[in-house]
Formats: sequence, structure tokens, C-alpha cells
Amino acid sequence: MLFCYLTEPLHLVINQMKKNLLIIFRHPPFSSTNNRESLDIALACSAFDIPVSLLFINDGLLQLHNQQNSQLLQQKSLVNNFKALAMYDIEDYYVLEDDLSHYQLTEKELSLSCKVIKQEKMALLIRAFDTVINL
Amino acid sequence: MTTSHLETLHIISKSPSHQQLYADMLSATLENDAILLTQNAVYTLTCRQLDVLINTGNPVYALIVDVEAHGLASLTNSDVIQISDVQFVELCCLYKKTLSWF
Repeated sequence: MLFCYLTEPLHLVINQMKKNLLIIFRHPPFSSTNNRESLDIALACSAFDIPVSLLFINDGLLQLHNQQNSQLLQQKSLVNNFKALAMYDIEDYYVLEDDLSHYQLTEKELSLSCKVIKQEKMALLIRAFDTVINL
Repeated sequence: MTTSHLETLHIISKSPSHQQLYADMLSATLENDAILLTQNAVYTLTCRQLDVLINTGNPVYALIVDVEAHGLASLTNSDVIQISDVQFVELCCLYKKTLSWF
């Protein structure tokens, strides 16, 4: 009986951990703390073995621009933090084709190796995740 | 009522002047989703943006406390379902996930 009592919640916990998470980045760099907080969530969840994927839309794409020089603004850049995500098993990054062309960027100008998806696939991507965080 | 097909509840809280936010929400919306207007998003009841939301074919809800607080109680629209705080909680439970736009 005790065994059953202990294993049941454990199963629930493990099921919870299997849920995957999508984090949406919508804000440009140097504007707010939203992107940094989203990144913190990504790292914290990954530390608990929750599969995390990142989606960059609109101005969020600019966060990945590899020509940023934050020192000129006496600010810390998040670029190096993003580059370190692979070490935390966070390796799925999505950007939208339309956003790339809107900002005249190419995949090579991004500091992460991203999967480029079409705008109309975004809704399907979001649907595929159990939890979505959109700061 | 079968609830298994209810997918994402999009909760938006910014006024309709945040056009990009609304565009993003709409492009993240599929069938079997729903949209809930809270806080300043209830001002959508006053403008044409509402038609865009309704034309998605998904249910559009508005939090009644915000509608009344913002002085919009006279703008009743049969296509918008006004809900209480308790019903808000129920909706969150009925849908597979919620997604906030703010």
C-alpha cells in the first residue's frame, strides 16, 4: 500500500516533467527585461529536464542579430547566453521566414542556428506544445 | 459537453492600438481556439478590430468586470460572450492550454 501511495504521485511528477515548453521571444534587445526573464525560465526548466524550445517572432528576432555591440551602451548582451543554451540541451530555435525578410536578415546573420518556418506554420508549432510562455 | 477538442485559450490584455500584438495573436490562432479580452483589451468592443476577432470563427469572450469597469456595458454584442471571474477560471480549465498576450 505504501508503495502504491508513493509511486502514484511520482508518476504524476514524471508526466509533468515530460511536458514540453515553448517560450516566445517578442521583444527587441536592450528594451526590457522580458527577454532575460524568458531566458531564465528556459534555463530553469531545462535544469529540470523539461524539453524547451524557443520561438523568436517580430522584434524578438533582432535579439539574435550577431552584429550587436552592447558594450557601446554599457549593457550586457544576451547573445552569449543564447549561444550557451546548447550546453543546457536547448537546441530547438524557431524564427519566421517573414520576419527575416522584414528585417532584411539572413540565417547567417543570426547568432543561433535556427529553424526557419513560414508564418502560417506558427500556429501549428504553438499547438504542438503542452505549455507556451509568452512574456 | 465534450471538451477534448478545446485547444488554446488566447488571453489578450492590451488595447486594440497594439496592432502587432493582435496580429501575432491572430496568426497563432487555429480552429478550436478561443479569445478572451481582459483589461484594456475590452476596448476592442468599441472598434472594428472586433470583427477581425469574430471572423476567426472562434468564440470571443470578454471579462464582464473589465467591460463594466471600462464603461462599456452598453456595447453589448451578441457575438461576444461576457463571462464572470469564476467562468474565466472554468474556461482556463476547459482548454488544453492558455496563452497570454500582453
